[in-house]
Amino acid sequence: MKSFKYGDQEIDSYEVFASVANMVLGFGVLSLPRSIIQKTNSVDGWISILIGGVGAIFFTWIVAKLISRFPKRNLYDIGRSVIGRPLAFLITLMFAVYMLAFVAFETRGVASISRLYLFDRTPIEIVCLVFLLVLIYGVSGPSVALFRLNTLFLPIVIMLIFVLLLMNISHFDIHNLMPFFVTDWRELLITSKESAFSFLGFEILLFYNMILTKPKQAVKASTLGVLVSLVLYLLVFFFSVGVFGPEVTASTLYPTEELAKQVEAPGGFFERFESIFFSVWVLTLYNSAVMALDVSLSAIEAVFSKVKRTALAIGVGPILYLAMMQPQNINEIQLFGDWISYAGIGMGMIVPTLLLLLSMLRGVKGRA
Amino acid sequence: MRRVCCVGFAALILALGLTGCWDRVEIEDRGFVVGAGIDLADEEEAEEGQYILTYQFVIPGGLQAREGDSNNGSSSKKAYFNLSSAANTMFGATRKLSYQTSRSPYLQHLRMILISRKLSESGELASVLDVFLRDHEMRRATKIMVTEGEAREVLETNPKNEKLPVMFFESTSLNPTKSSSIFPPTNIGDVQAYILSKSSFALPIIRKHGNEVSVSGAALFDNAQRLKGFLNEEETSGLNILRGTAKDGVIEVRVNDEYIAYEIKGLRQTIQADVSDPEHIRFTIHLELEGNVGETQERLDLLSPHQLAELEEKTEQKVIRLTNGTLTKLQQEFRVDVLDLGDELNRRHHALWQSIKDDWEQGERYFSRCDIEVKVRAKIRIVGSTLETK
Repeated sequence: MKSFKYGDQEIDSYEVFASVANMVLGFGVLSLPRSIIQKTNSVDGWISILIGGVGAIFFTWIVAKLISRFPKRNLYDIGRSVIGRPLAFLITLMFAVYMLAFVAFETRGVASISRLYLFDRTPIEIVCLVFLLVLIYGVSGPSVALFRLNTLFLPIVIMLIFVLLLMNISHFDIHNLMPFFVTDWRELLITSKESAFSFLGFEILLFYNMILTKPKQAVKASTLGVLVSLVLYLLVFFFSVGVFGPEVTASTLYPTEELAKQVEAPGGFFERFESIFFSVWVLTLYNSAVMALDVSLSAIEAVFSKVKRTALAIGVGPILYLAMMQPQNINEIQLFGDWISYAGIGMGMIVPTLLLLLSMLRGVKGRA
Repeated sequence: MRRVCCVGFAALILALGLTGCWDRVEIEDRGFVVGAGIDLADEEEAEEGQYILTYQFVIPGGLQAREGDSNNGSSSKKAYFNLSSAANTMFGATRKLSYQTSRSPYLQHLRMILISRKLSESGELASVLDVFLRDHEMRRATKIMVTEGEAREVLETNPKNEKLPVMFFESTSLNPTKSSSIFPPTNIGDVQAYILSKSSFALPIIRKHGNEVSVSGAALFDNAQRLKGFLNEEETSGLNILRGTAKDGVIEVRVNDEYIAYEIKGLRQTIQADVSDPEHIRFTIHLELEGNVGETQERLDLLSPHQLAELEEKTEQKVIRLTNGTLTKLQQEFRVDVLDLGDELNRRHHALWQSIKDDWEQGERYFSRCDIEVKVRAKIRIVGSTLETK
């Protein structure tokens, strides 16, 4: 199979912005209002989301600083020049494994939520398999194609969230937002950890640095991407609480999906908004999953430069499939998600910070 | 050649994935359920299960029948049929119902759930509603009403101007826009919020007299979802005004031995709470009514400012009497806070509420002891197009 060759193999700041936003907005937005309010019990949870978001923007800035110090280099190259080959090798492989686990988690999430809301009888195994096949197809081509896909989907996804919120304005009850400022600030700080998980995704830049045209602009574009997700998260949070009240939000598995179910256009002929919402949502989930897979393949390629991409993509397929079939129920999926989140904090926040500090201390810089 | 074979083989395998949709159910095979009724099983039925679930199915053919056909007597087609089954869980009862019908129940279009009085009194409301919140087919906008008698009997009515009883109930329940003595429709999502926040709530009541069905009054539930009692039309009217939901309605005011009808056109309600003494919380409910003179039986000079002021005052007194009657029932007889005053305290005086919420309706019964003052301001905007008719 001959894949399509793009005229330019590089990406611009808008593409970086769209991809980071899409990558961050993943599975999290569906359950975030619940996981936050379960801990804070009041609408004050928005402060936790804000803290998590600001933290994420800070680390995005660090990642962007790091890569603009080493233009056209990926994590492996950066690691090699800062901490030496063996450690870089280890970190890059860990990064690849983390991203693969993320793909498995996301795919499993798509499958279980579509089982809950869309297909009652289609086995999860089949949904996962089909999604995985499309993922493998997606990563077989050049990475630039995925970025183009992101720029195409992001406006649709943002528009959809706004339509969802607009359609719910009539159900919004301002009384549900009171009382506020009643939660202990320590509680809010601890809960912000929960939201920080939902902001992971910006670390993909560590590998897409290779195809960035203007690494300097990446700082602005990527922080903007995270900022967009932060605003959307806050809006969705306020709406879930405003529409359902804190108690119901805390006991609804996917409050955002429930918001979509709530939509009823007058006249009664337009009742199934959730199917449209979900279908479009799969686009975002696909985007983040396919980019994560692409990044992990790039990481493996960086370490073992001889492997062919298509062979690699097909090769990791079965491993991924086995990984995504491991969790047996919703609790295990959640546990799986928690592990990945901890790994993400290590890979997306701690490792880049250490690399940046070390490179500054040792005065190492990459040449373009 | 080998390449062609490979590609062909792959295409064949892939074609297997295109053979159909696992979840396909033809629309002809779905039994659309529009309404559900839940009763407590009596002794002879109790062997099969503790609840009796009745579903109202739509017969699509019956919906299309012309108006004229029904006059011919025998050819009149019903647009619905009801099926009941007894089981210990709603889910089990639903599955059992699919033995009795060729089209299996499909609940996406469920509009209304009727709960019988007996079941409400047993305090099992939350357990029977669980499946209607848990299952993915259900929507949170499904309305809930309490029936005075058996729910399955209410479902078995033949409304005069609608094809489906449930549609009839639904549009009748939406009439609070015209009458304040119907408690506004409450959907299952709201009920879940009340249950989870452990607050009392009210639901509309539906009654069957002979062949007629009427919706009026309010059923009061305490914070353990146990039915405490019914409010009559007048008290419901007072409740709706107190809650500020009576945006429309009629108040009959007696002026010099005759009546005038005050038509409510707008209502603004604000609550103030004075919590300086937690043992004795004082609430002031301000009600600002706006309305028209809808009818007068007395010769009145409606253009005189003096006369209007007197009418306004009479209306205010009437509203105060009406609401005080409701307040006495709520505070002394039923002891349920369906005015959401506790919620108000939670919002404005959160710390205090945290300390007294367990003693609000139970224990110390702060709610029954608190002082509620109603302040009414009624304005007359329009007096109609005629000045005098007699």
